[in-house]
Amino acid sequence: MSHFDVEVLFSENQPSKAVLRLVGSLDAFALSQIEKRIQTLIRDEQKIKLVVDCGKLKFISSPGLGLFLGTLNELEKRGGKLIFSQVIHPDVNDAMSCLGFFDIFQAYNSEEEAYRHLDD
Amino acid sequence: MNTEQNYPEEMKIFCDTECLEKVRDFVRSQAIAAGLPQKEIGKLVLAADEASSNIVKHAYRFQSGHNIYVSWKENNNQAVIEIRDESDQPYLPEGSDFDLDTKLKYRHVSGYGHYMLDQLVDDVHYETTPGSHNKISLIKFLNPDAAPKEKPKKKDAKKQLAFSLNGVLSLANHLAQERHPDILVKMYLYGLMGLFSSYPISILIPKGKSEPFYMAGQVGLSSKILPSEIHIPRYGWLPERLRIGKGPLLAHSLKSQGIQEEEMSVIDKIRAALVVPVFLRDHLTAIVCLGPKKNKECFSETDVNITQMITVHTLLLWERALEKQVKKNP
Repeated sequence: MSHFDVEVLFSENQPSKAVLRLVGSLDAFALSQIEKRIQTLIRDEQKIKLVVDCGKLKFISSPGLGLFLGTLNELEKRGGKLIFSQVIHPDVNDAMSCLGFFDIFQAYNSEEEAYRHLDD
Repeated sequence: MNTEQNYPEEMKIFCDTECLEKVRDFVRSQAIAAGLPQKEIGKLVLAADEASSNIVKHAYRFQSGHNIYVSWKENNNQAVIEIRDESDQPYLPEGSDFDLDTKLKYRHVSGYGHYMLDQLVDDVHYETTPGSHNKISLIKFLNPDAAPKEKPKKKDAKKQLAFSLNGVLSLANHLAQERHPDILVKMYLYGLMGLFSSYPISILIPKGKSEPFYMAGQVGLSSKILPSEIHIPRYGWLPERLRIGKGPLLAHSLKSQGIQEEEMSVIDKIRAALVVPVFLRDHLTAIVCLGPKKNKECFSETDVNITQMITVHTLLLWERALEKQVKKNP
């Protein structure tokens, strides 16, 4: 399987927030891995303010981009938020730009900076 | 990524969870060898992934055990990536009315692949041979300075389909008049995959031996064109077996198959003695109906063949029209 992994971090002091660190290539086959994790986070663990860190993401295609749009939709209904950080790989940046993602999502240079802006 | 791997010009890739990565690696290696700038390589790799994903998803339904063929050719300042499957499921892009702003506004989760393809490469061609294979060709100019300043304009799909339907009319007219003048042919076409509305769009009715077929209404219009005695809310009016079955259905033989009375009444209502549902990608796109023969005889094998021929031609026209559908540029 093409290498993809997602690491989820959250602290008990910030019950509504979580950080998802994406690693590798998020293609159509890898989608289910993160899809289920996000659903669990939102519905079961009530995390509605998410930072998606793309510092180690090398590739993303339209199914992955669509997933984040759908997630944003769900979060917004619950008063939540989804912010990207470290969209540094040119191919990832180009893919997101292609769909005009940066008109919809906020993106910050670091995970910490993005985390701070979750309460804006 | 192994950029030094010596890939052949065509690669056969087994459809499994790694196949997209293999496609990306293949295209990346070829693009590097062709001397494309890094930014353009990334776009090509993404485009190849999108095209392959669509084949895996729509043609193979994520089922393993199939092959995908990816080839790289260079000619006339163009790199042409061809991605081919062996699926008998026709695969063609959906919808010509793509509106990125609306999709983003309503946070649609899917349907971006074809738009992205159009943005990422200089041209995209779709080719479908029903029952055999589908092929997507991605074209990229190797030297962007030598490329045409504007992308080649694609023909308007609706106009193309309307034009092509004249061909079906001629064919059906010829068959009905020259070979079987006593058959009434009705054809119900359905909006397909967003190209048109999801309601029936046209009815083609031969008026008899001396009169030509005519198209009631125009392609793309709504159900206003339907005759009042036929109420068709989408295709829910069809008996279940017609929606599921993909072969011709002979009404006169249905009684012996234990057809339900209500099903028979529907068939009577549309006055069809022989119905051929036309499926494309599991969407019911059209129904070709032959009315009762004036001589009251049952339909023969030849009659069925005629209907199937019309059906196949209709299907091909849909495919061609979809192939040429226009993608709006932002």
